[in-house]
Amino acid sequence: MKPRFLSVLILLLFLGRISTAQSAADAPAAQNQGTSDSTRHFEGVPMITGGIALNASFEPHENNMNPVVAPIFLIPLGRRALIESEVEVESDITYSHREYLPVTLTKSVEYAQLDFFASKYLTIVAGRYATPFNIYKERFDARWIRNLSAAPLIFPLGDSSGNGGQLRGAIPLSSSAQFSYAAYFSAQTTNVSASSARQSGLRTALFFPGARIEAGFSFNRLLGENRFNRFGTDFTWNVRGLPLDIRSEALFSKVVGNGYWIEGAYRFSSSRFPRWLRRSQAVIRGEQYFHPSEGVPADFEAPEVDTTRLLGGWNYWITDSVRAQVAYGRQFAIDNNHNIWTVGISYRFVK
Amino acid sequence: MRWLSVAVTLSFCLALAAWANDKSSKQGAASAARPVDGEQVYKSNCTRCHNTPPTLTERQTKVVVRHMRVRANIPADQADAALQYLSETARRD
Repeated sequence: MKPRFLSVLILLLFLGRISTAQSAADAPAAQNQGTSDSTRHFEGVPMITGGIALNASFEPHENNMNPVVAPIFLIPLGRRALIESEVEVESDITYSHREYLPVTLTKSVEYAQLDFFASKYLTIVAGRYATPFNIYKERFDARWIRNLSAAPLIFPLGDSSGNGGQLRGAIPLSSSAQFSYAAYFSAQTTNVSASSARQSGLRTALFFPGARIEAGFSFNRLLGENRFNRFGTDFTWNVRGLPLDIRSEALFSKVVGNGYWIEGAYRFSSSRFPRWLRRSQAVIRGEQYFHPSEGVPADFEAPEVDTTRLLGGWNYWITDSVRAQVAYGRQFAIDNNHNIWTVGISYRFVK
Repeated sequence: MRWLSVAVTLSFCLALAAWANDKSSKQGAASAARPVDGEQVYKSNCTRCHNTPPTLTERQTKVVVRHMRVRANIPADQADAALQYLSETARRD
């Protein structure tokens, strides 16, 4: 990580501390004025949270180990703003065809953004942000959240961070439905740790809190050297009365291909299961990727042929913050059907 | 450029709709306001992505809820209700 970036973060943490101290001093005055809005009494504190994970995967002729550290810095600024940043440092240790490949260390800023809460239903985001294309990137990508350590096949085709601005929020349509939106524009940046493409797009979703169902639609247009559209749909459902989560995404693009994944995760939390089993979760995912006939641009990481993959896994929470994962899967592709084993452990921290 | 125009126009319309909705909800707040169930908001928005977070201090909880308001697109009144609910279980440091 660049010293300059670290200095900026430390400065922001300091500014956040001053700002929250000021808010705390203002709070009694606000109370005297009889205000009821909780934001008027905001006394948040700068904090560091995030996750650490170590994952390993075993495929024919190739074993891979992947340690990841991803701290998130949260710095409240006054009553209406927040600075948040996630830095991901990831190493890749690969043993392939009886020799170790050069170890890589990737440092990237996933997001470093200023959020301004303009109204109840509108947040203005400026800076570097995780592109809201489909739902996996923003909600399920964190190592301590994802149900399987292997990301979906189509994930790298929609995964990016943008440098620019974003308008987002959610508007209740009725007591049982909510409309959420995020529209963004990003400029092209070539910095190694914080690169971005010139792009714009939006994600809209309908969320039904009672049924805990969310269905989203995403659109993205790349506006740089490569100019093409990507469309996405996502669906999540937490079945009421059952500790069952269903998650799904699809991606459609003439240039990078089409694909989908659907995942079900069942938590054995019911009291009818033995106590040791109640911290477990069974996961199954099915996914397919259809390669475009003209090949995928070099910037995108995708299977080189049509691929189908089935994965089944078991998660066990050793504590509320430490989770062990093991998964087995089989990948089907022309002339390359093979098994995949993954094991991993993740830790969520809050300081 | 056509897609950029569409995206900018849609963004502007969404922002305008959000602003108008906020204005109207403020005007009709006295009659239409209904208490939001913080526990319901928490279960509908937080635990649908991850398991129960560790017990935080009250001041940490405020920051995490603000963070999640952006990540999970939660309207302000619902975020406030979730904060109220979580504050009841927060550590008093």
